[in-house]
Amino acid sequence: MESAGNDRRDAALGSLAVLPDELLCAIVDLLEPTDIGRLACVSSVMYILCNEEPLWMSKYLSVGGHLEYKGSWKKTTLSRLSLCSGNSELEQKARHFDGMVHLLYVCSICLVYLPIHTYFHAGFNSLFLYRRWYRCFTTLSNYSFDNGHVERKDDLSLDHFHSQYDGKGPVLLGKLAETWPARTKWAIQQLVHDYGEVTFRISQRSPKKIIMKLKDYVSYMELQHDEDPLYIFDDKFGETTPALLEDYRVPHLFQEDLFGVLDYEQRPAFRWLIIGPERSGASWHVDPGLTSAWNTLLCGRKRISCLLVL
Amino acid sequence: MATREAGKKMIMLKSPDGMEFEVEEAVAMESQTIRKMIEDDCADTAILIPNINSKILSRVIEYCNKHVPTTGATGAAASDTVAPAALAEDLKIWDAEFIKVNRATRFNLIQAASYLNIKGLLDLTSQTTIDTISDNSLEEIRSFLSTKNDYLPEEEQTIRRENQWAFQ
Repeated sequence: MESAGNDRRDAALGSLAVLPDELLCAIVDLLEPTDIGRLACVSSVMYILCNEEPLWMSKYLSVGGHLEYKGSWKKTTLSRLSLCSGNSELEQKARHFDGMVHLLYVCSICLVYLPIHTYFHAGFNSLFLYRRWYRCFTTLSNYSFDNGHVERKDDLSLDHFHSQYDGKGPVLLGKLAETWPARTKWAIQQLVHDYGEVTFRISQRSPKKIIMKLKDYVSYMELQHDEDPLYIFDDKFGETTPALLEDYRVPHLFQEDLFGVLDYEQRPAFRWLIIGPERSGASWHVDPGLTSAWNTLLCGRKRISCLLVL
Repeated sequence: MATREAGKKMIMLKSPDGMEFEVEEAVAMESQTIRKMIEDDCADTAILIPNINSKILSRVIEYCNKHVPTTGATGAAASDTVAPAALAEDLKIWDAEFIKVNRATRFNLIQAASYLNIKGLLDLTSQTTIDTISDNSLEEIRSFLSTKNDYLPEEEQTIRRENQWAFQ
């Protein structure tokens, strides 16, 4: 990895060259945005490390708040911090950053990762950056998938559900949502048309709260190339947008509501609207309060893996 | 190194150069990597720490010993009579002394802190590098880091223009 094709690295990183790329990225991540901007001017390899989109995503998310995505995380963060003054200047820079498309050169045994930039020639490659880039840009549509191993049932009676499945294992229930208005109304374009200006809560792994207008979220969803994209995960959609509650009904199998014994204010979060692009999702988890949940997919595809804990 | 106290669960950490360090489990669990191994029952009574030699590992253990939440910590700082603010101040002074090491040792400690996932130690060991970058001129940064400016003059001009926002 340090052989041919990486001859810029040592000189351009100086004493930091002994650290692996992963750690260099972690250290740059500890810097303030203006320090990152200045470090980019130090040498060509620093420039690459300082313009990584995951870096700027992390910088933005550490601030949090009302998010309007500007087409790249770097632009979004600089705009948020008012570090680009004036619109025309921002646009000029925007075009410049847009020119940073990533390219792969295949050279005999290794894949070289470089931003296309007129100033840079081969001379730096990084397996770490390449793998991360690959995870951000790989499309899932070509992946094969099976129909899963979970039993599918239509028209299950309540007794049958209780005796065979409830608390025993997962089951895929057909036909329960076919008459819901949500079936047609909860398509992305229709939702943007109806609720584009409504603010939703965004899920993410850092503690800072992120909120977005639906129209801004959908624009983000279409433009982004994040490894782990942000997704709408809103447990208050029923309160902020009661009209959405008219579009579905709790299926007859799930009428029992143990949270009903609590006052409404004490009721834990119990319903979520989830919207996300490919690659988004949650990692392994146990649902809050060890509860069971039903989950309905209205458009797109969602893969759920269940681990049987003995 | 940890002293054995009654009722404290001990664990053995081994460096690849054959040294063994007996530490309290609570101290070892300052490392999130080791904590996960212990919590998932993947750790025996001895854990081999690959890639971290005994010299560095002993420094890491020294750091964890000092930073483990007070009740189990050794040393004067853990005394019940010391106020939390004074304790934090004492830790800061201790950290400042701890990090007075040469560059090679510091970079080894960064890598060890990263592998063992000890956030406080990673922050502490990275801070010197961050300080050399923060608020210094490009020439100063290059000189501190022994970095070569490998831009052609016209490249540098363009890059400087592009990052003008960072110099205002």
